[in-house]
Amino acid sequence: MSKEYGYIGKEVTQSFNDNKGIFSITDVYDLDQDNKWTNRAIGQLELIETKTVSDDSSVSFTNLGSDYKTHLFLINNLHLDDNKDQNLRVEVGGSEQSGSTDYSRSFRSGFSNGSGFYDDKDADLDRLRLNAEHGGFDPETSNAYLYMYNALQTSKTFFSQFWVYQDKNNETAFRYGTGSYNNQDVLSGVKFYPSTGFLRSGTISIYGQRSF
Amino acid sequence: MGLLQVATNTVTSAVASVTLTGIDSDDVYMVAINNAFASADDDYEIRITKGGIVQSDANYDRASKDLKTDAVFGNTAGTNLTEIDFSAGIGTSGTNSHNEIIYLFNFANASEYSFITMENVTMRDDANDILFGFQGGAVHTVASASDGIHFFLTGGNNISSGTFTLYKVV
Repeated sequence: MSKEYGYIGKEVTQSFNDNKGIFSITDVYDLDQDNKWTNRAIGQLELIETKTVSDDSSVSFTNLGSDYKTHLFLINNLHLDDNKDQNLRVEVGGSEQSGSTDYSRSFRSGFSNGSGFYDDKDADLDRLRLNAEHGGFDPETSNAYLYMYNALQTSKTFFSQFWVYQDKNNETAFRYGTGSYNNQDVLSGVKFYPSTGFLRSGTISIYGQRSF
Repeated sequence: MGLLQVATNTVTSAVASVTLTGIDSDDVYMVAINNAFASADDDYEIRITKGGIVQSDANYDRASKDLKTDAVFGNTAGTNLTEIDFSAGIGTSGTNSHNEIIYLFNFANASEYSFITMENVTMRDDANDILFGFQGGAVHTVASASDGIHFFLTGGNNISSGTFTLYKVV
């Protein structure tokens, strides 16, 4: 193995979780940039990108990083136009996937003011309908986390999510459950978009989760 | 939120079980399961460990919602169980993997029960690729310190592949 980073010693290794040798400060920086430096305190959940929404018809994440087995999206203080749904589609090779059976979902919803609880499920969809009938007037807002599994592997991509939000009737509500993209593809991107209208404000962050 | 990896096991050849230990503080811990398969259609089960010993006593309580695309959602619940059933019809093929996030609370606290939240997603190999997930919680109702979590299949089949990782939430 080359001593690319200035390692000193016979049996040098220069991979994450296995660094042997003597390093200069520059070596440590370069190894960290190449994800070959062991930093157990911060290395396993990594912020890839945060997008700030501003009257956008959609928000796309085209950088999913590399080597991550699980991704986490945090949707914070999101405002849509009133009574609109929040959808997701994936991209493969840069192309948005919209086949009529590409997505499945099974969600459970509940409401605070007597609208009750209900199941929301579809085996075949052309998009992953994450949530419905968001409230669009302040202080109505939507917040959620969404896990995405196996996006960077040639396999089906699975999702699990939990929303807390206020709906079009100003009812506090939750929605949790599972979803899937049903083709065995490596994803190149993920797109969030409303049923119609715009995503007005808020942030959406994507994190990558490693294991070594 | 940050994650500090405590233990991981990537299964590449069949094993009867996976055990992750190393819980030694009052922090919240998290387990991620990715792309897991079984040697035959089966259900994953959870037990916890204390001092590295798998606990098979009848002290597990659980409740969860069963989310599926083909029928009305169900409820799964029970008390004084010997294990926690947290999946159904895990796949054997290359497409219907099991994926899950589990949070562990109060494990290291010797004065409290050990609490678990779980949310998983898979497609059932035994039911025409039906999207399926459990979301719920479970408790081991013994007030003593726990140090890990143990995964196995209820029908005695093997875990054929998958990545199981235990993190401390920091």
